[in-house]
Amino acid sequence: MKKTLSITLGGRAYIVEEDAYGALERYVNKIRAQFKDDPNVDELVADMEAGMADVFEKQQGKRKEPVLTLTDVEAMIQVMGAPEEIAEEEPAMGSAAKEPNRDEARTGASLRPKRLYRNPDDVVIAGVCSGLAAYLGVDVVIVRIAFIIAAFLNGFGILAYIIFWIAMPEATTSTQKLEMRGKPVNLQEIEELVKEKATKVSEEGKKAWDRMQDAKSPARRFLELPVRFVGACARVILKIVSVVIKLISGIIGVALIVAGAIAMAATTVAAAVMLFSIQSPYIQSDLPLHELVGDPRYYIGIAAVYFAVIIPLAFLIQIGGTFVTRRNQFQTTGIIVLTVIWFAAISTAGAIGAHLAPWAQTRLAENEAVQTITQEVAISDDVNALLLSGDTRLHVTRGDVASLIFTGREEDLAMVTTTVENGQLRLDTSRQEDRGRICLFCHRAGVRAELVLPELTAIETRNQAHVSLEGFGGDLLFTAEDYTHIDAEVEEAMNITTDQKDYSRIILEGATQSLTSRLEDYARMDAHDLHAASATVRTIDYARAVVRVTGLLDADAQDYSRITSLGEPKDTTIHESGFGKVTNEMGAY
Amino acid sequence: MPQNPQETTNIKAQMRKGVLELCVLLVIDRGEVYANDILQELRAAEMIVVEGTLYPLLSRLKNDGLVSYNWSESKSGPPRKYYSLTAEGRHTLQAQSGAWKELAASMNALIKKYSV
Repeated sequence: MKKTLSITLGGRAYIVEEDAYGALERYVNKIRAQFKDDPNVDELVADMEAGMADVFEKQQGKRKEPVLTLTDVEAMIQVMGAPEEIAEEEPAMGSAAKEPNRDEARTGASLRPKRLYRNPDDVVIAGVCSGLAAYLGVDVVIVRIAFIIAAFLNGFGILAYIIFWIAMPEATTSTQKLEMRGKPVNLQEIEELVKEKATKVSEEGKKAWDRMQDAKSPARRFLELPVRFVGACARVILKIVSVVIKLISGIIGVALIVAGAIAMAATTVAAAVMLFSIQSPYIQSDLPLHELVGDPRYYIGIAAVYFAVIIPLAFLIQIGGTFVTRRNQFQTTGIIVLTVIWFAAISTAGAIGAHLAPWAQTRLAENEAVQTITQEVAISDDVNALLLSGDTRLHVTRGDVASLIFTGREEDLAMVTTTVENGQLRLDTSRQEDRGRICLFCHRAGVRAELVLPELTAIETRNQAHVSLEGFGGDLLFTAEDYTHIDAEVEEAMNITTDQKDYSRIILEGATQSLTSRLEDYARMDAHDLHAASATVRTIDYARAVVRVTGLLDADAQDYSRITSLGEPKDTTIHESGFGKVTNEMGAY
Repeated sequence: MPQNPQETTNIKAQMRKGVLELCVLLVIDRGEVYANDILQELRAAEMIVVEGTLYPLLSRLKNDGLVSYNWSESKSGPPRKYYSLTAEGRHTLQAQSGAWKELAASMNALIKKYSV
């Protein structure tokens, strides 16, 4: 069984078998290449095609076969002669004087400009990457990785790929393939030669191998040993390379499929919950979602968002499948249909979102207004230290009478525990009640607390605590961990000591006699508005500190950490180790 | 030492190549002919091996203004190019056939003289 094509040649219609068509096309292309310096090449090729048709006519006169086979084409070439023979007999333009220049002209003029084609010989999806790689002259792996990375940038790579796919024609003929690589078309001859000789060589090689097997002379075998060794090595390396490539593309493919499938499942579960179980007691929300039950906009909106998310994921899985099977898993119609659905889903979701947004906003505002309460907790005046954990926001000011006022929603306030131990006030917010519930559109303002204290000497923060304080002086100790934030405006402080870890952040303002700081991990301290007479700063592991010192600065930066000194310290002691850096405003030290 | 047959064939091809243009001009001088007619004559006279050679030659003769063609309907199949000689072509034909006769005469005389 063979595919056939219908063609016209010299004004006559023919039905040609596929392989015969390939041979015929190669032949015509080679002739065209031979005479491409001739300004009348088109006319010449047309004449020759008419001549070929005459030859076929004569052949077909003998029998009644309507279809041209490879044998017919080969017989025709036999009669017409090989392109090289034709050109040799009658060089382009025929004038002998031109002959010496021909080779020169050919090498000069034959470097055709590159054209952008998709490469059908190296395909993962549609040959876009390999075509681009050939055009840009870089390795195809680089282009593919670039596209995969770009695919994760809001799907930009996927869109770009589809556009390229539509815009780039596929290189089907040998000439197009050569143009794709920008090689001179003369190389076609070499390519053809290789193609034609390949079968011959493999047959001859087999024969040679058989001969070698027959001739069991040990001496001969010994002589051939190095050759065979090199050959075996080359084969092994080729095999390893192909296995590695397959393995890598397989891993990428499996990763894409697994990630896509997990994301798809999660999206589907979320969508199903929002569509069918919105009134479940396990779902917590600040929005009165039950009001939406029965509103078609809600259901359409959820469905639209679902499709907007699920379609790119489906593409991702398809790409994964293509990587695993190394065969194009995409179908143009499918892609077009999915893309249209995706755009429709995106615009629907946007429109419904715009519809529902004002409703959600008013509901949230109502909610908060209704639920926010104020609560006062009595504390004694002898409290002078703080330990804050959880995500409470605390504002501390100086006053003669100690007081503590919480503001927030009742349910949030219920989670705050307040204890006093040895003069230390402990505030802890934990959300144990939340566990085991799914929170949809939850709006958490957290708890705000106003604290007034006559005296304060030590503050310790953990988790996500956020403290701001004003008006304290004397000796102050700040200990910050985790993601906490301390913002302090001090007055006439004597000794400020800070100890920071993790991602904590401290901002200091005012003036102090001395500042002693220690920062670890990714901690940040910004004391550029704190005028310190003297400072001792140690930073470790990516920590950053900014200080303003007038007297003595002792700075020690280790392991990629950085200390920036503003102002003009009278005396400095600098230690830098393990890529740690200490710099002043000008970047010196 | 006799020349090997391969080289004899080679020389023959060279000779044919030299006179192919004259042959073609002769055939076209017969009247309006199309490529296949010319090829038939050349085949009969064993003057051509690679038929494809004719087309670039015709193309050159046309470019040099020695032949012209017009399209004519054929009994079977599509219209064909029918070639005929121009005045200049007839001139060239005369000059070339004159040159050939001279060459043939002197060659024959030489061969006869030394009777190969």
